[in-house]
Amino acid sequence: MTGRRVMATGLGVVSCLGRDLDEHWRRLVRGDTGVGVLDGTLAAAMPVKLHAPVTGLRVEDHIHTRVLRKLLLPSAAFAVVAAGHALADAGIAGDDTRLDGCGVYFGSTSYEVSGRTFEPALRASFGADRAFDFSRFASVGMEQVDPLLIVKGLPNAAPCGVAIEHRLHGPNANYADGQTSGLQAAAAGFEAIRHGIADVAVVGGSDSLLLDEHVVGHYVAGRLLLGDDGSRVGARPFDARRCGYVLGEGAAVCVFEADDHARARGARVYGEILGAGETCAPDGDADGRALREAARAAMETHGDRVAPDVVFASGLGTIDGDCREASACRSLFRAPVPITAATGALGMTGAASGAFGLVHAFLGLRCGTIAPTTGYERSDPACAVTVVGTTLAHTISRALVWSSDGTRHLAMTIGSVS
Amino acid sequence: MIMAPLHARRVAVVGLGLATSLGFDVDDVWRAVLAGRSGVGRIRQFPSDAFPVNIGSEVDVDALCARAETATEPARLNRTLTFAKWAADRAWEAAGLAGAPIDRSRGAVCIGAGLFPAIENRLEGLTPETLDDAAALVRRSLDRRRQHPHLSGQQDLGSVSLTLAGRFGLGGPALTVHAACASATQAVGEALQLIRAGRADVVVTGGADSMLSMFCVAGFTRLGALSRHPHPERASRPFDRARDGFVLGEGAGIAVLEELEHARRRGAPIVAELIGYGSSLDAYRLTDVDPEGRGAASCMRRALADARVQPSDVGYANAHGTSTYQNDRVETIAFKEVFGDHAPRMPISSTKSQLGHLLCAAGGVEFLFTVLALRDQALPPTINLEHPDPECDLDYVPNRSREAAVDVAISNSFGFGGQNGTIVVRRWSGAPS
Repeated sequence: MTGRRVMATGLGVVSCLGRDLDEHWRRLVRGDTGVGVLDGTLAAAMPVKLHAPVTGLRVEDHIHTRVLRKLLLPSAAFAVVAAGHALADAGIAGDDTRLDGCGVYFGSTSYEVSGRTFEPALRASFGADRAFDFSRFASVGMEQVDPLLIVKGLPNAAPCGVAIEHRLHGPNANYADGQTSGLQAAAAGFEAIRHGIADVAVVGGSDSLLLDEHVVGHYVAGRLLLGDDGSRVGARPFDARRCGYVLGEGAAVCVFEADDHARARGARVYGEILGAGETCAPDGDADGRALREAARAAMETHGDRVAPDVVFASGLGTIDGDCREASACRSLFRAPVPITAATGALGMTGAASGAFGLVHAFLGLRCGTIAPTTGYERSDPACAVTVVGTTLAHTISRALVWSSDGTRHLAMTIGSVS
Repeated sequence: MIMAPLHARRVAVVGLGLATSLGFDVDDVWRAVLAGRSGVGRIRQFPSDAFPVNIGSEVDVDALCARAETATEPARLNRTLTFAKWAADRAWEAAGLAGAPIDRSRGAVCIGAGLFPAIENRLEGLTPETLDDAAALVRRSLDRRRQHPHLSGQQDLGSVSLTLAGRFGLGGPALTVHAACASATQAVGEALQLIRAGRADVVVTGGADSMLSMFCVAGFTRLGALSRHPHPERASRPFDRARDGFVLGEGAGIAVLEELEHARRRGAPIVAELIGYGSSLDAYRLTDVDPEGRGAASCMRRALADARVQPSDVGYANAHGTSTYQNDRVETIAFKEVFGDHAPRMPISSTKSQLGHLLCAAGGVEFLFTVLALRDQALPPTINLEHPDPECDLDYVPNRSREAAVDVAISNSFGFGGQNGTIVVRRWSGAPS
């Protein structure tokens, strides 16, 4: 491998399971889910009964920049809080000399602006015939448009909020490709440090998929687990009865740091990032070939192609998605490699999901624990793979983390530091 | 720091494509920009007459569809994608890649894009009755999704990179970058890194955006960001003392980048070499730029260091130059900070004076103009620069284009929220170096 070695030295999350890393991890390994009952108009009008919201987070306790508290939509606020946790965990929070050049590589929500935002302006713009009237909009409706509409709706509010709150001025990028964005960002942050563009970077993803528009979109696409059987899981990954996922939200963040930089300050190291691979198959990837290629590329970056001890997968609990992941997993390795996914505990967390996998992998490396595939009970012959159903004590020296949405496939390999 | 591996692979610019208010053909648009023509007028995509601000640099979608032999209705519904497809196709053809036997698995897309108007499309046809009945709103939303499955992914930014990857059958990374007004510049910068790091040999990059929809115009107007000049074509006046805000534009500027040896082997038409990139964060405010220009200065410095050139090597800068009071003042401070004694001697211009602010696409079209300035050794003017501003006292190539011997040029973009980017381009002389 060329370039510098890259270490993970800090982790932070905000999730439906917990407001910080400790609470999140404790509940994840216990097999809890953060799934709750969806009520109100949406649930009344549609057969969708579940969602997985972040609860009990007092943003004002964590975000000190007053304007950010006012302007940031949930996904960006989660990012700012999780990044603060990760920087504190890395022991560099508030260390302005180190933070000044700190990079931010982030995967963000596409747009989180609710249709309701436009309601006051629309209501003011209906004419006598109760039809929308452009000149009424221009004269009175427009006054009802939030002057900060555009600023609040920025899909890069998360990385910018993180930078403002934590005073980071370094190199940066923000990806908005949905589910795979978190790992796209992690791959970019890894490359940036490896090639000397930054010494330290905050990398990760955040998302919030709880707007009516999200629920309707995923429902019509036939991807939602409705929860009409009384279940309280976010998905049943790789299970014979799997039937989709519950929509969720959250943020997962890592601090990546150059080996020499981490050593020089005596930082605690969770593990090393060894490689990244990314492919796309715009017309779909039924046989899992593109996912396999991404995994191979990630494993080959390091040069040794050692099989991982565990795969942290997407496991969305969809019929075809899980089959693709299982098939890729089977064909990649000679001996069966255990696979786990957190969608059952967290629901579908969009741009944060791959970053959650990365955080769980580093925690697993450190604790010798593989987090469970909550929601998995019955194996499916069509989706045969060694699923880690309940928390497993297992020494991990190499892990593969991937995120696959059917068209884009991101994979990263990480390893323990001997 | 180990820098050698990253710089071992050099990056050529091999194809360009544009969709702008000044036309759809790269050389036509470039001639118009050099001639100082403005593409700015009154917004026509919705009835804008009564609006307090209705100035825009609008692309003629009907004309574009006629050229592309594309159906007009779906094209209107997603202008960003319509512009992106056109410009990417032209760039791909110009690069000689149509039907070329390249390894598509080594091809990638890294594009800056915005899709805000897709949110507004959902509002179409709403009545007071549906607004009062929450359940009816949900049912309506369900019906619309079912009836128009092609609309479902419309506000997903990821659809932009994926659509382009599908168009050219590319199997490498498909990345959509969003850094507000710095999106396209950051996309070009990240595309450079993809090739340098060996993750791709060919990358389709640049930007596409459209925010000339009703709520976008209303939002920017309420924010107080737009020029209210009585004459549309004179409204965008970067660095002029009478500047009073930016002009909304739309369109796409897309380029194909290729690893230099890969390009040479297949005899690609190399136009310029992309030699450096730097990014930074203001970490100041979501709504304002750092008044001391620290973020702007640091991304320029990082880009020059990455390109391994001295400030005095830079012969032209395509400025962010939005025509807002604050940007143009702060960018000038940053130029002086970075370039020192060389700053007054370095020609700087803002092609936003001709085309307005293309937001997520701005850095794409401006990257193309930077490349063309190097190719033709001709600098585009900053038009409407009539009243010198004591706070903006550099050489902005006022009103008339200029011939110049330029070897290295830069292009800046500074985004809302505080993400910044600068790219560095070198003239391609054809001689190996």
